Amino acid sequence: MLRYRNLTIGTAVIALLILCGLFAPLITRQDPYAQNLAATFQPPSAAHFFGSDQYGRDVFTRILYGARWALFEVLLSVGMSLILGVPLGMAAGYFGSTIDSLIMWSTDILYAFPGIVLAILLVAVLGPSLFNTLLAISIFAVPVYARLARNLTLTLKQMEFSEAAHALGAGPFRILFTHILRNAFVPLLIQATLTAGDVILSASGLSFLGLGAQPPTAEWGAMMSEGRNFLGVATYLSLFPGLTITIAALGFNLFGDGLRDFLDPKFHSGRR
Amino acid sequence: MPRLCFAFLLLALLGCRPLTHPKDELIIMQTEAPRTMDPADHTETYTTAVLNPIYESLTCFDQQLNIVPQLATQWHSSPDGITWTVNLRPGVRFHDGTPFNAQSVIATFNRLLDTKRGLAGASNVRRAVLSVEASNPLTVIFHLKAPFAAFPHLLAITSIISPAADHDGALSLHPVGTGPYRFAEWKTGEYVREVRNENYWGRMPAPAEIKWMWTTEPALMNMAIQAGEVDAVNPLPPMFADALQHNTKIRLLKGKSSAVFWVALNTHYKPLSDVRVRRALNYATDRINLVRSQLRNYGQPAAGPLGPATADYSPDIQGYPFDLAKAQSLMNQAGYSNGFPMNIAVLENQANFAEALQAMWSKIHVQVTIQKLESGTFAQVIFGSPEQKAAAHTDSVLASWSSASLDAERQLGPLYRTRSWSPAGANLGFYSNPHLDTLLDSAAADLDPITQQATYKQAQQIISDDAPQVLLFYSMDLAALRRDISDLWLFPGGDLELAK
Amino acid sequence: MNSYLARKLLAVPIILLLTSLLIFSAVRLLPGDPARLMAGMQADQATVETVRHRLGFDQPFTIQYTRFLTRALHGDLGNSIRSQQPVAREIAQRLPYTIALTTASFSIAILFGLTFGVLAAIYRGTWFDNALMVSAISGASVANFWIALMAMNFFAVKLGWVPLMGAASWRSYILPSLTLALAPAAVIARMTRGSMLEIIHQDYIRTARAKGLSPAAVYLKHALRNALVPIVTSIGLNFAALLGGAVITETVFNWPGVGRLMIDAVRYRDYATIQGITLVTVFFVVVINLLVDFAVGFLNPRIRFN
Repeated sequence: MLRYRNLTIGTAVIALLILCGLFAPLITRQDPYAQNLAATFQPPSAAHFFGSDQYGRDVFTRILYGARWALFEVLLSVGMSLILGVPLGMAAGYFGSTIDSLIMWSTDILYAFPGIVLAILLVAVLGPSLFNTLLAISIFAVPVYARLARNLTLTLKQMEFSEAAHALGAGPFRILFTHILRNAFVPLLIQATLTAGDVILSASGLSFLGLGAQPPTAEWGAMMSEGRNFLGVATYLSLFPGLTITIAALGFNLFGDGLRDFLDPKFHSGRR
Repeated sequence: MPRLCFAFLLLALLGCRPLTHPKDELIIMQTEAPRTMDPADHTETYTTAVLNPIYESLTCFDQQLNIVPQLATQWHSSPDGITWTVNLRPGVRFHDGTPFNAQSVIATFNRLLDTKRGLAGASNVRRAVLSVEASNPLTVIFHLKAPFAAFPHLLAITSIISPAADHDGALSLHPVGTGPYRFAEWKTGEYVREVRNENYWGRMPAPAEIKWMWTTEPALMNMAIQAGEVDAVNPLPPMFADALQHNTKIRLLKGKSSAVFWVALNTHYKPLSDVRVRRALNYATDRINLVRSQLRNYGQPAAGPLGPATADYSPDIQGYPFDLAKAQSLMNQAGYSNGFPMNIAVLENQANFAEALQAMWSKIHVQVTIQKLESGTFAQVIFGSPEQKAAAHTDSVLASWSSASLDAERQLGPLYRTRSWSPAGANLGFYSNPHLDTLLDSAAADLDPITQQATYKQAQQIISDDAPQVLLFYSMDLAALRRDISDLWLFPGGDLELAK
Repeated sequence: MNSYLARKLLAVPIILLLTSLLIFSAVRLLPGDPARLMAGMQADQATVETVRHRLGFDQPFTIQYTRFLTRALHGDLGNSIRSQQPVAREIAQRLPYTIALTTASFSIAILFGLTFGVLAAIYRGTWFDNALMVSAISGASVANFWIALMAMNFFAVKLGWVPLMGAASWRSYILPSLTLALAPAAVIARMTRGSMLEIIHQDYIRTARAKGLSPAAVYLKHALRNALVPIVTSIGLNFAALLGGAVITETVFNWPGVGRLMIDAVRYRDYATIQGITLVTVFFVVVINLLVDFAVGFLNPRIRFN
């Protein structure tokens, strides 16, 4: 069991996340957006497990509902990166020469750009919103997926099944999407889970800069970012969202690592 | 090891650590970097604070907010209030050795009046002053465009610069004034350093050096003063005030504020064109709890458009008590029983007020969308013309106004006069009441303080009744100092000043 | 080798040129009026227009860009709208602090990452391996600014062990570089472990062990040297990310580096500074990647001609 400990813990955390998100209204009856200005900054108690914030809203409730946003962020951002990066990488790997150079050059330039700066500028131009922030995050993750897809395609296109398909008259797109993608799927998935944790952290970093989810959204990054202004007098306001984000990111990372180990044939040989 | 234990013990007893910098260096931390070293080229409170020890004006405010002489010894106006004669203090020199005299005053004002130079802080002077001349080396005569009883207030906020230092924009980097401190260094991004002016004509203050620093992180300010790494923090975010009150090493400075916070309602937006709707929003605002939760009670609910520190403030203005039932009935009367959508544009660091209002006004079914803007976009959006605001759906703006000269005309004129419709002025909601305009005109020109006050009271009540804004509160200026510092006080608006 | 070198070097000015055009256009797309910002909320419209003319923002785009480009080639990146100082000088003053912080963080990250990774690979499969990897990954799972603020509150304010902010003494480097090192340390640990595991099973290692060489000699001398290739590559790739992370860290610790300068520049629409910092940053990243390519080629001749 030790061998799969990471995978187990990771799966458990992600499952917990999904459950909290789905069943939040059942677990807590309170409204995450209901303000009570007469009862602000209540420390953790029976009435408010994690205390109440600067508007009197229940922090525990907001953290539970925040799970929905976390999952939304992960799915949307990783999804966009995959949709943008994988086709580019596959095209580069399959068609080679000029197309390869062109695509790799552009992704290299993108990679050289400090991600945060890109995100700030992008969001400043498009307007602050969670969607725009996630768009920025997914854009600067595109080079990773493009490069991975390209390398995988390079290897896979030389394999027998690709050559066979080509011999049978299959066109490039058919080969790419039916054969290569199917085999590249798992490494891409592992990469996706590994970057999932980063997405949540990047979103919270951008909340720190005033971008990201807008008020009054009960999103962990925004909560942690707002809560940091009360550090020292109501430390619990940033502590609980911070811990939650750490646990969620850790869960995704462990899941990704565990999955990679699980699928790695050498791992199963159990030899030192 | 023993040292560590002792440190623990000390901390346990005192709750913070001892000073880590030389005692005669005063370190002050603010929330933004200074814009420029040229006192005429900005309108920012926190830049004014940095330049305060370096520059002086003809008159100044004392701690009771009365106008007293500084570089001038006396002044009087002609009976029609248009010509002012000012006598200057002899024997004063600028930091670069240039003597202070009528020429320096003329140079200071002429550069402000020069439209080609485009100095950012020149609007007030340009609006009031026609020309300046010297009748002898120590006497200056001002010719105003119209009678202006509060002219000495304007003099108090105009810093006198050394004409010899004003060439090729040098003043924006290297300030030269007559004040108790000389400019030493501006390390951009880090600090501004000022050292004692040994040739100062007045009372020498204690610290040998002043160092100005800044950060945008409120928590850092709180930690820095507790750790003793800074001596003063301004403005102190209200949530830390209660905790610091109990810290024996720290003293809180509270100031009567001139800043009035409000939500300017765009009267060209259909629902807000109806005064009943505007009054409904006012009735639906729980100001008392707003001040309690967001300002930790370091502030006062607002009834009228002038704050307590401004001249002619009247505590008897009838405002709008919190009354949801009345608010809803007004909405029904106006035909909006189901509410309407509304945008509020707000600076990102003041968005918490907008969030509270969002929840409050949802009770009368007004669906508020908050447009959090960073300073880069904020000024541009809020000063849009009627057409621009209509296109951008700027239905309301949450902001504050504080006139550094503390006179009613500079607080009311730019906000409520018809000619102050943005972008020309700060009448962001395009409010217009010709009767009010006339009242303001007569009050500004009125040299009799008693009738002037009565007129301003009338004006304030009209503004409250017409409800072009939802007046929110008067903020209290808050700063924190290490207990052993006595030389600093808070000027309304948040400007931390050296006691003179 | 020469054509390889030439191609790589040629890339640098091309990338810089493209970046300059990109960033020049991007900042002008930013909503917000720097002239109004400079003049302040209480200035009247006429003043704002005069300020705009003073700053040269009323000229058409192409004129502004060509003027910028010609000046940039002479080392003049324009003047900051905020401080009136030459941008090149401001960046030169503040860049060393960012580089110092980034270098310190990276050194710590490499130290811990390599150690954790090697140990984890050697003791692979045991609880020790797991513990090391989980703690490394936890470090990468915390939000940068959150852990920084918590650490500051505890170590600087409550305990007084380190200064709270600024870059005054060597002690000031401790907290910022540690917090900045958390994420890259985890990446390096993971990669080292993976690399080492690959190599440990290869023939030449078994041969070395069979020859009777001690484990330390084997692992450190042979395995690690080859494992270093992907790690060195990742240094280049991660450098850009590290500079980005420095932005937040510098804001929290009031560090006088270019990260904080950039944030302020964006906030106040200081076009010249935004452009200047972007160009300098991209330049550094490109140069570092170039050096990394050469280092990799040096470490493993087979890759050189790939």
